[in-house]
Amino acid sequence: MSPGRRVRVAEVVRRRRTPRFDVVTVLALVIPLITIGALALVRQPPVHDRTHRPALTQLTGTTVVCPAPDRWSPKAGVASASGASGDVTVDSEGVRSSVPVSPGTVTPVQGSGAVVIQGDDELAQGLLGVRYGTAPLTTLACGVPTSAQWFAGVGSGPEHDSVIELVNPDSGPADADITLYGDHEFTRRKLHGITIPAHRTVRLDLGKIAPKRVLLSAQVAVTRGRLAVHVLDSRTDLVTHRSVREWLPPQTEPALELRMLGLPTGPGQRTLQLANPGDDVARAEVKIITGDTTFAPSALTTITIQPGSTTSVRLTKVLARALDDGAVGVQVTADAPVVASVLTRRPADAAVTVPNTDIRSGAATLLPVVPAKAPAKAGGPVTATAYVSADAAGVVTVQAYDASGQALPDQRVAVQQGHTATIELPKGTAYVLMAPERTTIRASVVVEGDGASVIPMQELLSQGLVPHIEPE
Amino acid sequence: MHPAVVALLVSHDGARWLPAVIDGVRSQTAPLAGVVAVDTGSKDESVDLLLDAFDEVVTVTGRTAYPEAVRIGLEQVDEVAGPDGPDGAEWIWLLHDDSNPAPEALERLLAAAADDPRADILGPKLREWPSLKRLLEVGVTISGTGRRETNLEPGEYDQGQHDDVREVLAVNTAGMLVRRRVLEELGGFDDNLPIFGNDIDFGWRAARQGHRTVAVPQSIVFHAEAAHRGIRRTPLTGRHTHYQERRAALFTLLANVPGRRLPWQLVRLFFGTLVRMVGFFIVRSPGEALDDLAALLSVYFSPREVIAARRARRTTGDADPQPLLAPWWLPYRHGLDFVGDFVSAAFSQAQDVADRRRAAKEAVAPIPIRRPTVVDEDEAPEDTGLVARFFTNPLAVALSLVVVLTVVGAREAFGHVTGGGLAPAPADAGQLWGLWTESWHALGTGTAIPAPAYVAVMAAVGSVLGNSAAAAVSAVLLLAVPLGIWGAWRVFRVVGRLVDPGGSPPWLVALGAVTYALIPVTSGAFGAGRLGVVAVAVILPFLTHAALGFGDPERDRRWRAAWRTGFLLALAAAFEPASWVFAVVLVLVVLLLATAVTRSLPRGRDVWGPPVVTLLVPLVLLSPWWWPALQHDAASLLLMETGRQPYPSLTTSDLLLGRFGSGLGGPWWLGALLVVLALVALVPRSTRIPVLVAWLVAAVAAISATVLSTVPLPLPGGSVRPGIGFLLVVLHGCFVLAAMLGAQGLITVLRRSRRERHEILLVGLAAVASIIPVVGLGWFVWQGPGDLANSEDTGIPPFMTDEATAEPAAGILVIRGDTEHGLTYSVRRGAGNTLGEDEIGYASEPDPAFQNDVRALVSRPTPQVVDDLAAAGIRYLVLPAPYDGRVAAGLDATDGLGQAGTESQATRTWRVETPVDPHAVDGPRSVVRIVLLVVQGIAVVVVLVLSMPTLRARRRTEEDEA
Repeated sequence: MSPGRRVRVAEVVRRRRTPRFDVVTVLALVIPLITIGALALVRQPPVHDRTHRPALTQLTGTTVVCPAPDRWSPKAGVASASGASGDVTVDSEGVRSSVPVSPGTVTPVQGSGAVVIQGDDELAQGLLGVRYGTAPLTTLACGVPTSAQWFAGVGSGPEHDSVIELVNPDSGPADADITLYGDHEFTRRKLHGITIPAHRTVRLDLGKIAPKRVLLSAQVAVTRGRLAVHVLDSRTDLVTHRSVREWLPPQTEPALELRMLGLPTGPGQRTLQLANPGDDVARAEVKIITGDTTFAPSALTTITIQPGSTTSVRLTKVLARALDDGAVGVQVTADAPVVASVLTRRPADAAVTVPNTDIRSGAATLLPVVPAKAPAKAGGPVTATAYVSADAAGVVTVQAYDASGQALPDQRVAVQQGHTATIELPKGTAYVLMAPERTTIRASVVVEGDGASVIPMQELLSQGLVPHIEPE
Repeated sequence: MHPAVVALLVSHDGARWLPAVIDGVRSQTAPLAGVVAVDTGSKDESVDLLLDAFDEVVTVTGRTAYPEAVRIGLEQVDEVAGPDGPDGAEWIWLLHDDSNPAPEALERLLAAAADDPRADILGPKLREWPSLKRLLEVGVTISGTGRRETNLEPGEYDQGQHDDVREVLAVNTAGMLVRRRVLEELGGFDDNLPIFGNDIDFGWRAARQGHRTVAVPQSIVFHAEAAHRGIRRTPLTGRHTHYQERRAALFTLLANVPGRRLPWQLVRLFFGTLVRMVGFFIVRSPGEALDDLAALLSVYFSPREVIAARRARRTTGDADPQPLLAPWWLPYRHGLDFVGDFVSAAFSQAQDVADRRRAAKEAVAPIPIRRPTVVDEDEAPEDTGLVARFFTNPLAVALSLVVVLTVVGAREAFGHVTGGGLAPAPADAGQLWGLWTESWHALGTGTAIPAPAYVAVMAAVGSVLGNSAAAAVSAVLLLAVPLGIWGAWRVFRVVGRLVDPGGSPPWLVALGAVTYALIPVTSGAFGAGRLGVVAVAVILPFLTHAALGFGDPERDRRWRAAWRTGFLLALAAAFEPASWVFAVVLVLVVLLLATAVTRSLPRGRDVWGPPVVTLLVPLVLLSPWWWPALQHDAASLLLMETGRQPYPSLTTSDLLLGRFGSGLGGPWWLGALLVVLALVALVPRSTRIPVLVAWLVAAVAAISATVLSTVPLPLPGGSVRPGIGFLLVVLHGCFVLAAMLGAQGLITVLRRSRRERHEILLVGLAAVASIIPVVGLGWFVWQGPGDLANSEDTGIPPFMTDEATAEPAAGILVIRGDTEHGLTYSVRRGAGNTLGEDEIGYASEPDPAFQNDVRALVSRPTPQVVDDLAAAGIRYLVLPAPYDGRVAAGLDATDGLGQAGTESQATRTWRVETPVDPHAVDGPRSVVRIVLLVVQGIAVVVVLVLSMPTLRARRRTEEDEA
C-alpha cells in the first residue's frame, strides 16, 4: 500500500469524526430549550389581599339601657356629652317618650321598668345614663348592650344573693347563655339559651336558679340579638335581717392585669373576689395602688385560683393600713386571664370596685346628687373624688356640671406615668367629663355620702366601625 | 310459432341511446309483429333516428305523460301489426329509449310466457347501462314506507344469483311484456303517475285482479335509468326528480292500500317522511329532504286525486297482493343498515389517512414505496370466539383492567358530585338549558352576562342521559380516562403509521394512550374539580385525530375534516376558551413554516380553506357566548378558566411537571420522568423529525402559556389571568407523543440491528415506559377523589334553600367575615350557584345601590335599608359561622328584620319582614341572544351534517355529465 493512499484513508476517517450538525440536530436542541425557556417566563397571577380594616364613622344611633328602678335606686338621669341639644327617645315598659337633653344638663328619666334610651344622629355620640339612689348611695352607669360581660362576686345564698336583669331593647328576641363559676374547682354551671322576647326584661334570681352558693362569678354571653345586662347584688345580715343593695358594674373580658381604682374610705370589710374561667390553675399577685406607687403588701401571698372557680381574699387589714397611707386602688396580676372585683362592705352599705378600662379620647359619667332641700331620708351631702392613673405624662381636663346644668370650675391636672391623681370634684357635681391629653388614662369616681359607690369611667362612645364589604 | 308481439317504444330526447336501442330491437331473435314508436316532443334528433329505423313515428307534445303515450301507441298497434295475427297483436312489449334489450330478451320472455300460461305480465332482468354488469331490477315491489324494493344490494353484480323465474308484484316498464288484453282491461297506466312509479301501481292493480306478474331473469335488458338518475329532464320530471319519484310512491301506496289500513298508512308516511328528511339532511342532501316534504304535502293536500284513484280501483278484483309486497320489517332493516353504515363511516373518517397518503404517493411516485408486511401481534386466529379472543389477548385484558381501575379511582364521581372548582349540578338538564338560553339570569341582583359555553354541552349530554345534569357531570368525570385512552389510542396509532408504514407496536400505543389519558388525573385537575380541563383532555385526542384529516389527499375528506375539527374545537373552546387561541397560534405557525419551507404561501382554497374554516366554526357555534360577553363588557370571560375561583396559578414547575397547582396531583417525579423521556426521544435518528414536530407543538403551547400568563383579565373582584390549564394538557400530550415516537424509533433501530439480546432491551424499554402509567394509575386508585365529594356544607338552613328554590326572587344574602378584616357578601338564589353560574357571577358588575345597602346593613342598618333589600329580591340574611357578633347584634336591633330559626346557633339568620318584590330579579329579554341561539342551533346541525362522511354518490346532474 502506498503512503499516499494511507494519507487519504486517514483524511476520510478524520472527516467522519468531525462533528456535523445538520438542521434537524440543531432544532432538536433549540426547540426543547425554547419550550423550557418559555415556561420559565410564565408569570404568576396577582394575589388579591381581601382583608380590609374597618373605617371609623360618627355614630348614628346609640342605645343605653338603665336597669329597672327599685327601692334603693329609684332615680335615673340622662345626658349627652355630644355638645348637641335635642330629644332622645326613652322607652320603659312599652311607654315611649321624648326627653330633651342639652349640653351639661342631666335630665331625669321616669319609668317603672328598665329604661331604654335611644339617641340618634348627633345625640348618638356620648349618650350617658345613670341609675342611682342616695340613701344609701347606690349607683350604676347605664350601659350599652354588649355581647359578653363578666361579673365577679355574685352570690346565690340567703346572705348574698344576686339578680341578673336581662333587657332586650330590640324588636326581635334575644338569647343569652349564662355561665356561673362556683367556689370549687370546675363547678361551672351553664344556663343555656335563655330567650328574652322583644322589648322585654327578664330577671333571674340566682338564689332560685343555683341556690346555696356563697360566692360565684357570672359570665353572660349574648348569642342572639342584643341584651343589656345588669346585676343587682343584695347582702342581708342574717341576724338583723337588714339588707343592702348595690349594682355590680360589668367587666368586659378576663385579663392578665386588672387595675381597680377607687376605694371608699373609712372602716369596712374589704374583700377581693377573683374568678378564673380558664381550664388551668391561675396564680395572681395583688398589689396596692397609691398615689405615686404600687406595692405588694408583705402580708399578701400569691393567690391560687382553681380552674373554673371563684375565690375571695380578705383585704380588710391590708387595705385598712394602706388606705391610711393613701391607697387608691388594687392591682391584680395573674398568669391566666381572670376577672376580679373589690367589695367594700359596711353595715349599711356596700360598694364594688371593678377593673378600669382605657380612656383615650374622653370619658364622662353622671353622679348621684342630693338636692339641697331634700328631706333627711334622701341621704346626706355627697362628695365625689376622681382617681386618675395615666400611662404617660399628660394632662387631664376635668369639667363638672351641677344638677341644674351650670358649669363648675374646670380643673386641669397633670398626670404622670405610674402615678394616680386624686381629684376632688366640686360639691354638687352631677355630671363630670374627663379629657386626657397625650396619654391614656383609667379613672373611677368614688361618691361618698350616706354610704359610697364607685363608678368606673368608660370611654365615651362617639365613633362606630364601618366594616369594609365587597362581593364574594 | 311465436305469438304476435308489438314493441312499443316511447322516446324523449333519447338520441344518445337510440341507435343502440334500435340495434337491440332489430337484432331480436324472436320476431316482432311491428314497432310502434311514440316520441314525446324530443328536441334532439330522436324523431329522425326513429323514422329511419321504423318508418313511422307518432309524435306528441313534450307534456305527454308516459301512460298517455302508451295509450296513444296502443291505438297504433293494429296498424303496424297488420293482418298477420287473427286477433292482431297478442302481446305488447314496452321499451324505453334508454333500455336496450339483449338479442334474446324477447325470445326468453315469450318462452317464459309459454311455460307459464297464467303469466300476463313478464319483465326482464334489468342491468345497468353502460356498465352492463350491475343488476338494477329483477322485479320490484314497494315497502310500507313507499320505498321501491328490488331485493338487491346496491351495485350488485349479476352472477346469476337471481336467475329463478318468480312471481313478483311488478316489473319495470322498460322491457315489460304484457298481454294487450290485460293492458287494455286495466286501462293502461295511471295518468296520475306521469313518469315514475306507474309500473308498481300497474303491477299492484293487476295483482288485485288476479293477473300474474313474473320476472324472467333469463331475459336481459340494459337500462340507463336516464330519468331516475336525472340525466334526462323532461317538462314532466322538472328539476326535482326525487320529488316526482317520491310523490309517485306515496300516491301509489295511498291509492292501493286496503281501506282499513289507510289511516295508519297516512300517519306512518307522515312521520316516516320526517325521519327520511333527517336522514337526507345527515347525508347533506337538503334538496331531497325538501323534495320528500313537498311530495308528502302535495299528495296530502290533494286528497281528491287519491280519493278518485281509490274509487277507480274499488271495482278491480279482490285478489290479495299482500304476499308480493315487501315484508313489514324491511324499512327498519334499512334504517339499521343506514345507522350502522353511518356510524362506522363517521368513526373511520381519518382512520386510514396514513394509508391514503401513502396510496396517493404511490400513485404519483415512479417506484412503489416499500410496504413492509405488518404483522399484527394481536390478531387472533379467525375461528376463535369473541370471549376466547379477548382472554387470549393480554393487551385487551390489560386495557380492560386499566379502565376498571380508573372507574374505581373516579369513585366519587358517582351520583351528585361537587368540590374544588366544580360547582354542584342543578336538579335537571332543563335548568342548564334554561341558563344557556335565557338572556337575563336571576343571579345575585340580576345579570345579563351570558352563561359559559360549556353549559350548553353539559345540558345536551344531560338531556341524553335522562334529563339529569348530575349524570352529565358524572359521565364526563367517569368516562374521562376510558374515553381519553380510546381517543389517544386512535390518534397515536395513526400518527405511528404516518411516521412508519409498520406503525407502532400495539403495546407501545396502549402505554402511550394510558399515559396520556391519565394526565387530567395525575395532574390533579380531576381531584380539584376542574371539569373544563378534564373534558378538554378527552376532546383533545379526537380533535387531533380529526385534524390529521387536513393531510388527506382527497379534497372532500379535507373539507369534512375541517368541519369536524371545527366542531371539536368549538367543544374544546366551550370548556377551555384558551384552546381556540392556541389553535389560531398553531395554524399561524404551521402556515409560516409551510411558507418558509415552500417559499410561497399555500395556494388553492382547498389547502388553506379547511384550517380557516376550522377556526371560524367555533366563532359561529359559540356566538351566543362570546357576542353577549363582549356586548356586556365581560370580555374577560372569553379567556377565563371555567369553574369556581380561586383558579390555580400554574408555575413553571407546575407546567413542566404537569401538576395542576402545588400540592395537587400525583408524585412530581412522574412528570419529570415524562419530560426526560420526551428529551431522550430526540436521540433516535429515524424518528427525530416527527418527535421534533411534537416538540414544536409543545413549544408553541409553552409560548402561548407564557404570553397568556401576562394578560390581565379585569373582573369586578380583581383581575385574574387566562386559564392555561388546556396548554398544560397539550404540553404533556406532546411529551407523551414524543416519547412514544422516540420509543418507536428505538424499536426500529433495535429490530433492524438484530443485535443479540435486543428483546431484553425491548423489555427494558417497555418497563421504563410503563412506570408512568402504572404508578399514575396506582396513585389515582389510592388518592383519586381529591377535593371531590358528594355533598357540600353551605351553612344555609334547608328551609331557606327550599323557599329560595320555589321562588327565584326570594334570595338569601350571605355575609361572611368580620369587621376587623372586612366582610364579603354573596346573594344565593335557588339551591345556590350551580354549574356555570359562578362564572356569570365573577363577571357581573355588582349593583352599586345594592352594595351601598349591604354596607349600610352591616354598619348602621335602618328600616329603609331593609325595604331596599326586599325590593332587590332578598328574603333572608345569613351570617354563617364564625360570624361577627357586632354585625349580628346590629342586625338583631334592626326593625324589619325578624330572626329566623336555625338549627345551630353557629349560623345566624334573619328574615326580611317586608314582602319580597317577585319581579326583583327580572330583566329584559335580548333579541340578539335569541337570534344568536337560533344561529347556533342551525349551525350545530349544519356543521354536524357537513362533518359527516360522504355515504353515497350524489344523483348525477347534467353538469356532471358534461
